[in-house]
Amino acid sequence: MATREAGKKMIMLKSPDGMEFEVEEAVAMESQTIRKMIEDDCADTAILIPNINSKILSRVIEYCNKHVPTTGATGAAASDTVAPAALAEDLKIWDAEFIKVNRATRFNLIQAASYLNIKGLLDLTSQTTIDTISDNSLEEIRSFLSTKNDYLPEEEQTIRRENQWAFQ
Amino acid sequence: MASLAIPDELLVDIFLRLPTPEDLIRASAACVSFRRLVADRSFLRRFRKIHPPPLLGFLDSGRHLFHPAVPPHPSAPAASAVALAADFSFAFLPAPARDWSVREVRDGRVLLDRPRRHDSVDGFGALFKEMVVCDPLHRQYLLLPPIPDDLAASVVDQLLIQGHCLAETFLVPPGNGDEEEEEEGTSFRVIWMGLFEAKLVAAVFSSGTGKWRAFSSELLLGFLLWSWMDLFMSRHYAHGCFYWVSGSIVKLLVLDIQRMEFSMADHPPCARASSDDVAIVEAGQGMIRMFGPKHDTSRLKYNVWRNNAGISTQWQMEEKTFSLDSGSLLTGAVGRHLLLYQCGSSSVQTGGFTLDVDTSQVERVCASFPAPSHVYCNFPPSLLSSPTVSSGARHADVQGAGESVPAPEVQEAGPGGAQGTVLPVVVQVSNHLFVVVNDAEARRAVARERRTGTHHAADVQGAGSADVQGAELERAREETRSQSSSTNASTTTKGVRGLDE
Repeated sequence: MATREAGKKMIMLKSPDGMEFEVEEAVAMESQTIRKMIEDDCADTAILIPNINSKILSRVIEYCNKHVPTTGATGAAASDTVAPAALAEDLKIWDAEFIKVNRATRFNLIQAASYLNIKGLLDLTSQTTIDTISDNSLEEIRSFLSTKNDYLPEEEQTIRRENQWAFQ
Repeated sequence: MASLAIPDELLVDIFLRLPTPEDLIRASAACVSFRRLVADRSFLRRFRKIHPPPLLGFLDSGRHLFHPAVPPHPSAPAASAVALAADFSFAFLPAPARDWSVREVRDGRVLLDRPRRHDSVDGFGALFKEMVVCDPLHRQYLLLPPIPDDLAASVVDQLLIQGHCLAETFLVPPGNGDEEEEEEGTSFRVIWMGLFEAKLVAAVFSSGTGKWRAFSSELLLGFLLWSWMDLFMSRHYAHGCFYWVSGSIVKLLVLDIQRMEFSMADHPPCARASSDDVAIVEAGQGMIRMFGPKHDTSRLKYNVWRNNAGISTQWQMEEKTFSLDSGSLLTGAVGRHLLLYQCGSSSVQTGGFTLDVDTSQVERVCASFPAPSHVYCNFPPSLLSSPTVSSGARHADVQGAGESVPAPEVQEAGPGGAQGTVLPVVVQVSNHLFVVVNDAEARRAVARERRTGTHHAADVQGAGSADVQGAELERAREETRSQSSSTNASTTTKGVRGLDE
């Protein structure tokens, strides 16, 4: 890991429940939303992140810390000894552990990743949902996506009949 | 974040990532609001942009029959839905349907042609055919206007000088253009080209403008039409370029469809027996791979060359050769898949297979492997497909066919009830010099004639489509299985009277 330099710029992120997180600017800029705020000079003091509670925000920061490129214009050179492939493999294992969360947390993470526009995190968090839709029955999909069957019986029949091939 | 209700934009994001159309349709059946999201036109457009259309089966272009993928192929459910919904007998085209010959299938569209009806005088009707692009799933079609007069005239001039040419018509995959139609998935392009001994004349039709535009009239250095004709060419497509492979191993003819430029590229250094024994597939990072049979291995062992898909880059032979089981035949390629025909052995079922060259995964598509056939890739009906051919009176401004073209009328199609713009047939030239033949066997006959100096007087009217049912040509078709994916029969014109004498 790069050592923290004295002059490194820090950003304060605030959650709506009053917690404050001090993070390196480079880490915060993993979020395209925050990057834009910083680039537009809207980030003089603290940035309030609406709708994302401290629990989720801390997890998001954890993700960004792990995924921030280890070399940067301001940072010290990353460890040159680690091969990129090994680094990628390490990240993959870390991601798999990171996403072992309950359903509610996962959806909160999807929402946070979407709002903060962090592509890697959005990919990671969406994948389980995609797998669920691919592999499970309609009832399970409904339950997983927290929705109710609000079709009229005849409507549902029509959809099933017209798309019979998709339900085989 | 108390509620678990997922905002629409998140759902859209998730739905876009679903790997197959089945998944999407199942998700949309969960509730009314999901269905509304999925049925949205712009959503479907984005989905189609991200996911390539799945391979659904083969179209037997001789008999106009569709062979859908069968279980356990992943596309089998969607393929059976397409088989039910689509009309691959082309009964919705202007009658008689049997007159139309399938030339190419791409992106759910089929390009067909037939000799022009009123050309008994001019004799070029079978060279400048009536062309139609249709969507069998939605039974929509668009008749293409004739090749512009000036272009046709220059082709005829060349013919009079050289006595023969090889004409090809084919659909072009979508470019990266930003046309609105391309977004809607209704835009397509067709290329017509005539190859002469040392010259190439080509024009592209764009559904957006409804017009043909000449884009190439070039001298081809190192181009050997005679040898190419004798061993008939095969056309391949990979990563934005068409490749024509001839019996000659000196050069490949390349067309870059972004730049719409022809060029000649080096052929990998291998000996080949005929032009239909190679396959070109898409590899990662814009690379292409060419599979060419090793000498004396009965087309079972292949050398593989890699090329950075640039036109002048060098071919590099891969160390590993590629081997087929006995009883297998490499018949072509689509995308990164090789197409294989397995004639049947104790361990493997008969049928058409795809082989993913990256993962070596083999999938059986269907039991029969019609020849000649075309790969049919498309999204399944219902939610995912809007017509790939847009019909209507958009092309009222069609030009290029001369003064004799009245404003086209929108006409009712046949039983399908779809509509298409029907353009009147225009007599273009008045000469009766050429016999036009349409198939491999016939092309060989032309080659034989040329060698022996004999001619037979064929009737131009009958030479185009009437031969479709001919038993001899059926046999020829059997031999040209390799045209299944990326190539199709070309038209050869041969000077019969006047020039050869």
